This record gives sequence, C-alpha cells and structure tokens, in this order.
Amino acid sequence: MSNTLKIAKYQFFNVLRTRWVFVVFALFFFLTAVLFYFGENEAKVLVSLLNVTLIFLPLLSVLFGVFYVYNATSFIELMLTQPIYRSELYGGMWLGIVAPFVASFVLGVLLPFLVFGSWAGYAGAFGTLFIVGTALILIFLSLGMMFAIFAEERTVGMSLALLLWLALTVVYDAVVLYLATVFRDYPLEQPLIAAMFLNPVDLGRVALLLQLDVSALMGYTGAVFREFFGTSLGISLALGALLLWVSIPVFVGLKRFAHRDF
Amino acid sequence: MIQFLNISKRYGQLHALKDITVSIEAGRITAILGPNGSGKTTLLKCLLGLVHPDSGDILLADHRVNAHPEYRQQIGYMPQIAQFPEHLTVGEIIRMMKDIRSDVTHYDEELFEQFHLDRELTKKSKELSGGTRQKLNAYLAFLFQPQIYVLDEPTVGLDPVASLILKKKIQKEKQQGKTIIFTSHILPEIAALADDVIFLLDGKLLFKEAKQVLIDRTGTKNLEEAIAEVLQYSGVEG
Repeated sequence: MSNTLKIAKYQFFNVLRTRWVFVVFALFFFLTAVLFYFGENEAKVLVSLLNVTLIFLPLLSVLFGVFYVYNATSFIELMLTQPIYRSELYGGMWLGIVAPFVASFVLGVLLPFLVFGSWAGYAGAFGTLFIVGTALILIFLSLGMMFAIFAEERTVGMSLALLLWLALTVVYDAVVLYLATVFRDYPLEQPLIAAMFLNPVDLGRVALLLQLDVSALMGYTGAVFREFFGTSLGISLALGALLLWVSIPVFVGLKRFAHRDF
Repeated sequence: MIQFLNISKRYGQLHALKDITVSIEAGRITAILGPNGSGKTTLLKCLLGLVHPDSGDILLADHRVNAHPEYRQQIGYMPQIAQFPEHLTVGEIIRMMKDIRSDVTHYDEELFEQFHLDRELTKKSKELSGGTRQKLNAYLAFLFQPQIYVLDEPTVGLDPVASLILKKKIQKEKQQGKTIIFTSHILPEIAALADDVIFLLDGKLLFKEAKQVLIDRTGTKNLEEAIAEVLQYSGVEG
C-alpha cells in the first residue's frame, strides 16, 4: 500500500469519529426520513434536500477543511519528519477527510430513501443530487484546506473560508440577478450559462432543478438550460467544470504545502 | 557527521538564522542551547526538511540533504510539542507510524515498556495528559532505531521518573554509536549528557566546543559557570 493510502486509512477513522461527520449524516438522514414520513413525494423531498445540500454542505465542508489543517499542524510536522514525500501526506489527508464526508452524506440520503422512496422516475434526479453533493464536498473541503495552508493565522484562514462561502452561495446570485435585471433587454441565456459555470453552487442548483418538473416554471430560460443540459456536451462541460473546481484548489494547496515551512 | 554550511533563514523581518556553519560529530551527544528565539528549533527543522533554508547546504555523511525524503530514515525526531490525530487511540497511532515505516522491521520497544504505554493503548490521543503524550512522542522517536536522534527539549513536560528514563536511554544509545542532538534550557541536564555544546544567539553561532574544553578554557568549575563566563565576555546578559 502506498504511503498516501496508509495515511488516508488512519485519517479516515480519525475523521469518521469527529462530530462533524456525524452532523452531516444525522442532518441528511433525519431530514430525508422526516420528509418521507410526512408523506412528501420524491420530488418534494428532493427540492427540500436541494437547498440543504447547496447551502449547508459547502459551509460545513469549507469550515472543516480549515479546522482540520490548523488542528493537524503539529501532526503534519511529525509526519513530515518521516521519510515520506509531502505530496503523499497531503494526498493522504485529503482522501482521509473527503471520504468520510462523502460517505455520511450519501448514506444519510440513501438509507431513508431505500426505505421510503422509489427509484421509478427519480433515479436521474437522485443520481444528480449525489453527484452535486459529492462535488460540493470535494470542492469546499479542498478550498478549506487550501486556505489553511496559505494563511498561517487561524482567524485569517477562517475568515477567508466564510467569505468565499458567502460569496458563492449568496452574493454571487444577487449580483447575477442584478445584472440580469439591468440587462434584461438583451438576450442573456448565453452569458447566464457562462456565469453558472463560474460558481459550482449555481451549477449544482441548475443541474438539479432541471431534473425536476419545477423547471417548467422557469419559462424560456429554463428551456434553454434544459436544452443545454440535455446534450452530452452540456453534461460533459458541467462535469468538467466541477472537476476543475476540485482540481484547482487541490493543486494550488498542494503546491503551497510542498514549499511551506512548518 | 552532520554539517551545516552557511545556513541562513529569514521569516519576513526576522532573521532567524544568520550564516551558520557548524558540524555535529557522529557518535557524540551535542546540545544546542541559547535563549528563546535564538534559532535552535529552526536549525533542527532545517535538518529535518520542515524548514527550507534561504541559502546554505546541509550534509549528512557527506551527502547533501535534498527534497528526497529517504535521508530521514536515518533520523528519529522528537518535537517540542506533539499532537496526534485527536480521535485515534495510542495503539492506532503506533500502528500508523509502523505502517508508514515499513522499511523497518526491528523495533526498539524499550521505552514502551519503561513508560508503561501498554496502559494507554486504548485511550484516544485527546484524552492523554501532556506528559503521556510526550512519552509517546519520545517512544516514537526511538522506535525505528535510527542512526541520528534529534530531540527538541526532550525532558520538558516529563515527570522526574520519565525524565530519568529518557536520559538513560539517550546515554545508552550513544554507547551504541548513535548521534544525538538535543536542545535544552536545563544546564545540569546539558552538563550531564552533552559531549559538545553549540551556543546560538540571535540566529548566530556563538561557539561550538567540547564541554570539557569549554570548562578548561574559561577556567571555571562547571558548565554553568563556563557558560555564564562566555556570555559575560561576549557582552550578553543571560
């Protein structure tokens, strides 16, 4: 087994025992179960889960990413004095924190769904929810780790993480909406699709909404989006964008980690 | 032999190490001392690859220390403060370190027994007292039987019994031809253990001398007085 996987294995168990992972699991488990229990159909459960996935999951992920690295500083020091490469340690830590988060999110939704829900007609929508949620966890955990590697001051790293979360979940939409209102006399579909790609939260939201009937309410713009995501090119581009959103913070964080003094 | 050649390091405004050239003999115990912030830990961290010096080279048995981590197989490091993953038990931490050091098959379990770490095996690392954590830390430094030990204030936080065990262990390793470098503020400890003394001041090397030579040269009775004498002579208070 490579050093990366060895480190990942022990970090996995370490992270799995934290409250954070339990909170993610409990939140999605109870939310999904309760929604089903009160007789909501699959579509309504999905819409409710959508907002928690898009707002709450990124917040928890980015904060944990930051916390984790700061708390591990002296452990990182100890590990780096072993005969291992820095990239092996970074990769091991990344895998070791990403895996329990993804597992608790997926299981939290999946378990109640298997009991109460039905795949018929909703496999695509739930599949999309899992992909979007997983992508957001990867993206925001990587961003959190990256901030903590760059900012040696705990408060600075934490502030940057919160600001980014706020920018991507709240401010970005407001700005896009404002611009869309100002330029409403122009054809905006293309710029809006472009704007969506610059924000993984928006990308996730649109991808999910299009799987549901509510997208019919979005009118002409909805139709343009639907057409776009209906093509394999559109789906590939969306997945590619999410992948880029994961790789860039991982790469930048690793680059800094490799050269930083501890 | 470990050679530091013209090592300099700046942290922004702070000039932590200023052109340090010094060598550490194999098979001897070398103590690094100096006031807080004099660069002791930074110098050790350069050797361990934790800190990248701005200039200068470090040679380990005539090989340049570089970005390849293999050279660290020869070094056992005990940091000043050890923190382990909070939710892992002592047993899991030990297993993890052994897993990572799969190049080693023979372990030195002496400190494990002497520190009674078997009583702590199922405890989570966050439940350990500072002293127990420091014992685990010391045990891990000796576990893989390296050729060189780098110990940063090794006895701080240990109770007198554990502290004595560790000092005996250090002397035993020296008799087996190992090289030991440690930092300390405790002069009697340095007097009892060290063969050579390196004194750092404001990131500069003030002197490196064999302990006995230092005492003889200053015409004093013991290390404590010798160091006081040198500091006075170089116009430095405490």
